[in-house]
Amino acid sequence: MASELTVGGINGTTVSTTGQVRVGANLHVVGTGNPSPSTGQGLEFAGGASPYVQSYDRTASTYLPFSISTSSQLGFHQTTNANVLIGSATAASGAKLEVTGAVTATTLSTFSAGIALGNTGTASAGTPSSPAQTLDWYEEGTWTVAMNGASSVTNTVGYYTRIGNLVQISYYSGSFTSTAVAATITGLPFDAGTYQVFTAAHNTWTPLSSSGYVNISSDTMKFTDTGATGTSTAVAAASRYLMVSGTYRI
Amino acid sequence: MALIKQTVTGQIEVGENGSIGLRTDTVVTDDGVELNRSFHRKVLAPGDDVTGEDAKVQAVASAVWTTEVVAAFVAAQAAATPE
Repeated sequence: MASELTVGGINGTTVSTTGQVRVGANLHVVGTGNPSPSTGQGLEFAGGASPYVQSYDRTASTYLPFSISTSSQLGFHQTTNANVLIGSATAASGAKLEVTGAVTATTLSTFSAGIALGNTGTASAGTPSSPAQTLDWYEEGTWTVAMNGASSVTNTVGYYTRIGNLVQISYYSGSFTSTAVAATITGLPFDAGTYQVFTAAHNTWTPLSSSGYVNISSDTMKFTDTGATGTSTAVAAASRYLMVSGTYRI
Repeated sequence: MALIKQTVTGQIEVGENGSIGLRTDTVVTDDGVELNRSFHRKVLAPGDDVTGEDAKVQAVASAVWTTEVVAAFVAAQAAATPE
């Protein structure tokens, strides 16, 4: 029958009947369960189905800071408030993960709450204190272009990229047939926040206009004749073409 | 290997004026593992016909597009011309 082996008393080395090794009060190697006797502050190595390394106070039943470092400014630090610090032993206010030095990620990283750039305010609970310095949106996709009065349109797919509150759009129609109506395009991927300009080229749809504006609070682009604010009138003809792009603020 | 391509309503946003931003995602999966996701967007203005839209979009439109919201949007658009 196995028996516990102790060398050096309570602060010595103990090998328990279950194979756990306790070196003084500060180093425990356990299979599963708690070291025996379950007292003291120390580093614990556990096996079993969920192996772990932890710094724990068995007497007070609390986790202790844990560091892998050669000095207080290097390595990996797990603090008492569950912050993880890499490269620094002192966390910035509110930081949950702080890395001092360059970060390289070889797989996709997700920042669902945005990325604060130059944010000098006090952020808490994931809420940036300076939204104007927070990059919170990036998106690429397509939109369906609807030209007023157009038919037999070769291509109705436009492209967009949104970065923050700016949306860049582009579109090339290919050949289409037009009628003499107000030259407007609807279907923008996002409503515009203010009046903003777009430009066109290779444009045989509205020969008197090469630009226009995105209407406020809408998904509509309106061509305007040079020097005018009224909406241009498209020509009525076949084999028309339009190439257009613009950037607008939402 | 079972490749499946499907479209889903990826995002619905309601603007201050009641417009509904709709992102339709085209998702390609292989045995349930997502391989690719691409986006298509449009904006539905208050009062637009939502027949054929996703039921969730119709529900949002029904809840948001009150008579007052639609009227306010129409009035704002009628007045929206740069001077």
